[in-house]
Amino acid sequence: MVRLVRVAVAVAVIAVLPYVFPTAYFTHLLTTIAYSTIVVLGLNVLIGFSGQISLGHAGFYGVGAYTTALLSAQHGWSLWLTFPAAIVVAAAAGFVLALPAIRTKGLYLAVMTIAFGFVVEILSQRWVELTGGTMGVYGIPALSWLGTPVGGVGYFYVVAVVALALQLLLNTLVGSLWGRTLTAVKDSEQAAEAVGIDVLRWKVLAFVVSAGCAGLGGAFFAHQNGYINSDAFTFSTSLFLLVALIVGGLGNRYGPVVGVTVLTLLNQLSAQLYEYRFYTLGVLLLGVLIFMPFGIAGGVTALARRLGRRPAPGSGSPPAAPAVVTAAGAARDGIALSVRGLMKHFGGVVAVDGVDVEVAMGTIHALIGPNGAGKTTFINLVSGRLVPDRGHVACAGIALDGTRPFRRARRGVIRTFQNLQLFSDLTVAENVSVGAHRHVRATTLEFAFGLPRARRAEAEARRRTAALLAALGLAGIADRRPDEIAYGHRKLVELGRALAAEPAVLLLDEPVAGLNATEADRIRELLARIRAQGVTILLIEHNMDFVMKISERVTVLNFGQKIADGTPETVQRDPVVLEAYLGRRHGATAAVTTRA
Amino acid sequence: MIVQVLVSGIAVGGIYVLVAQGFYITWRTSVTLNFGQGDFLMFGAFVALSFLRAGVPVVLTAALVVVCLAVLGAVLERVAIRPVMTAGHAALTWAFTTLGVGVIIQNAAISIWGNSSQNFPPLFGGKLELLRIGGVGVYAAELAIIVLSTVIMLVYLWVLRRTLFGKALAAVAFSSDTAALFGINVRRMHMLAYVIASVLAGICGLLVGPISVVHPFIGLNFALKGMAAAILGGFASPLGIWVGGLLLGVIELTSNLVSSQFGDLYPFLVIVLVLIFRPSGLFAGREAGVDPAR
Amino acid sequence: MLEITDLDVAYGPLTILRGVSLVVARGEIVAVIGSNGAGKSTLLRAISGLTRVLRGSIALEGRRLERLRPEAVAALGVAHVPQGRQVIPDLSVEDNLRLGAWRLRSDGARVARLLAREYARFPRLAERRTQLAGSLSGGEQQMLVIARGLVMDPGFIMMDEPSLGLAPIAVDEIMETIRRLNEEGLTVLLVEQAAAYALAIADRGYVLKNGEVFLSGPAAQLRDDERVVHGYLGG
Repeated sequence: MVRLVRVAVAVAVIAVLPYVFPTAYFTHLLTTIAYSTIVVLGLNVLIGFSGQISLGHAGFYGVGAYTTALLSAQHGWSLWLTFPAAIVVAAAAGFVLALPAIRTKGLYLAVMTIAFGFVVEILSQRWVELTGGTMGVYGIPALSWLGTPVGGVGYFYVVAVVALALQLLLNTLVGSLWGRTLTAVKDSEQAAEAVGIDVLRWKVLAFVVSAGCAGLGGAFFAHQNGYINSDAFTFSTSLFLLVALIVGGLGNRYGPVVGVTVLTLLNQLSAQLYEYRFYTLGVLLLGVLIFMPFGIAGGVTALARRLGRRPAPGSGSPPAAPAVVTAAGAARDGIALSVRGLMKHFGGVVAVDGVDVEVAMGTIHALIGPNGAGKTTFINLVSGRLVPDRGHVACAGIALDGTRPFRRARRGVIRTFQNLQLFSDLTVAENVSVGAHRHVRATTLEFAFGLPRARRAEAEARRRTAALLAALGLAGIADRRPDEIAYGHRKLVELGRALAAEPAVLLLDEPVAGLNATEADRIRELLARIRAQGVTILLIEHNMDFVMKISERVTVLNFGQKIADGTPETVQRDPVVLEAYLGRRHGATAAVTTRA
Repeated sequence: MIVQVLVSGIAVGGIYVLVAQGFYITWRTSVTLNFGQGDFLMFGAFVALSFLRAGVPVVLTAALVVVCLAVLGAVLERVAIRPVMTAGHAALTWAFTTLGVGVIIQNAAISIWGNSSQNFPPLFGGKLELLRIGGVGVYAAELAIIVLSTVIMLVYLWVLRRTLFGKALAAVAFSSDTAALFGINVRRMHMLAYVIASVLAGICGLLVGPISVVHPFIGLNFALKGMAAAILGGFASPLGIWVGGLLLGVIELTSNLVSSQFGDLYPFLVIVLVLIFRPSGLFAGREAGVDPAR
Repeated sequence: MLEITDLDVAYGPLTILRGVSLVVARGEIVAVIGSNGAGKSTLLRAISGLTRVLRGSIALEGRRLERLRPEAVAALGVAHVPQGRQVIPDLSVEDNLRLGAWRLRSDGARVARLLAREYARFPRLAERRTQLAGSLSGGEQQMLVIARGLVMDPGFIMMDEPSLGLAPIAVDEIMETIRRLNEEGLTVLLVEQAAAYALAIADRGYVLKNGEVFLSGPAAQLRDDERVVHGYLGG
């Protein structure tokens, strides 16, 4: 209901706007703001929500513009065809760029996108036979309805309504499971993969969506004046789009419209300042990044949150209700995780040297060893993050060799991280619910329009999340962000996320590191309950009290080799183990040896 | 003909090499670089132009450009790098802030010198003066640039490899914590790396003048090509970058010979292709480096 | 010489050290032992200024260290040999040593003397002075980082797990070197996981467990104390 009112208000504003200053120039300005917003909405999906970069987005903008311009002006196609064509061709360009781009990050990705932008710019300038170069393409037909050309205010209404529709569509997407998955990918690719999300596919999707939006904006630009040339698709344009997004608020739903409006108006105002006006872009970029990294819309949102914030409740005690955790398979007898002959070396150093481990189903198995023994490398090999030189890993009899981490996660091998990889932009509840995302079958369009299958997926994820939050005692802080809650609770959230993914085998990397005795005990009880549900657990820990109390079996590594394997009591008394930890000459070692 | 293309290519490539070394030195020490490096180059060119037109001798002009750009580099580090290296900012924020500074510099240049193309007064007997070497004609200016850029490259390598300061930079690049334990002032090292990078950019500006027109919008072009040179050579080795940059210059001039319709397209296509197939660069892996594709 | 009182150190959201108090008298070797995650490395990093201190005090001969930057702590003559044999692999042995003497670099004669002293102490390093540090064996690299710490002529040296990843013979050699250095008057704070080696040469020891001091006393007592085993393996 509230939403309908807001939409109605927006429509009313759009209707009234051109009459604030009823000149053709002002209407032209408004139209520019409208289609630039369309482009930046797409850019926000790429940079703000999926955490990638594009410093050459004018390239997609240009591709869309030229597609519709050439098809309509030179081949007489109807605009009903050329507009979709512009979107499709631009999206295809996005796909083509994405394939190499997603395998790179950071600086190289930035450089690749700048290079792409430059390539499009040069092609549009020099491939005169196709694009007309700096002379451009003339005679681009205007929009027409029932034979009459739609210009001026009418055109603005069309573009603005489309922009509004896109904003609403993206709002729905971003607020849904789809948007949260994308944010998860942005915040921590590793953690997203660890719960079964195909990170690469999502990154390509973000590129395609954002390129398509840029193409649509470019198409509207092309039909605004009936003429385009290569001057419009330079790096300055890409920079403008970027600065607009940053000023408005990266990752904020309304960042694009706020930023484009502010920047366009500023440009107009500063035209009065003559030669100083060019500084606006650079100074704005620098200033905003240093002093207001969240942009205008972002700042407003943050302020609103801070004003509406209540003090966080203290750490609640775990409820007596049993955990509602469904394991991926019924508890059968057998081997849940089988590792044979695993070997990995880095340079000249052998980190894991021919290790065999068998983890029986429904048990808790600990992996311990002195510093540098190879435990973390071992977990990385099992979870798929590293590729072994030799050896085999299998889960419940199914070989995992050669598969990527997200596929292993989908088979039920879920890991947590020693340094806690929570999704910092999502709430506690959302963090946990991402764990359930791998089962979702609905497509992007279904989420965009709120179709039944998407809604069912949301409901299911919500149900499972609520049950887990209750079981873990986190319900009271469900809508907090990770940086607002205590460290002990953060550990529980990461555990909850892993549980939401319905693990058959849980790989826990230092689950109680940094916790005090009470908190560690609580985790211990939780793990016992999880085991009772049939989940198998393999954990690395240094906290020996914890390990000895909870594990049925302990494997000890040293210098990458397995030096002991047995019950906790056996291992505690094993002189080889003592020597590995304490060194040869410790009196207790000698005493134990003589006693044994 | 081929020799001429080779010489021109190496001359222009030598400039790309120096731009790229500026990227390399700051990347190694602080895993950041100046996206406005090209604009710094352009600014150096204009500063040099002003002094030369005022009759200041070349050597003194060069010294003044060095001083001016050194100051700019220190300011850049303080204003655009250090404030955004804390945890509160996204990982590539420095890319945007340095870009912002580059745009500001570009606008300053337009304000001061206008936005049209300018020509340098003849420095090395003018570009049009031909020398005959082994029966082949080459431009004196280009030869001079090759010599100068080689000399600067050797000085730069000497500073990096043979002075204690250069070794301290290597220590900071390896681990700023470990370097701090020796008593090295890590912050000051970051700043000095940026000073060196900016000075290199400024010197490039002075070298570019004689062989090309100068206008305020040449910045990004040079920055991208410098980046391409660094990528070709792998971000891990000054020698690899030297080879990569020269190669890039030769590729550019050769492709111009074959077809000048698409001008600068080929170097950028090269970047995209190299990044697709060899994301770590052609020469990566020789020395320990920080992978820019992280 | 070094007095730590009630120290709390955090790393991001994690409190790693809680209420740690520790004393090192001039001329002593003090061992800090305990298993991984106990906070031993964090303790050294807090002293040398690499990690911020939340609460508590660190005093070197009365001079407070908690607020100082690492360069300032080094300037007071505190050498920190970090964990993991952090030699700069692309530089030679001699270059690594010269960098260790960075804070004395303006006094060329003094640096030359100090270098000569370390070469005399570690003849194997002298043999390999022009070799790249990355090509040295594990034991030689450990010697190099110790020499690198010594070349700044410190009054107080802290070493983080010098035995890590070394074969027992190499460890014995390192420990013997440390003992001799101490006889010459150097005060040593030795962090080790391999308790036996550290306690064999130390005067006193502290056992850290989960960020707190679990046990402390003369090394001779700790050497045969079974509670130390509990500190590591529980039970």
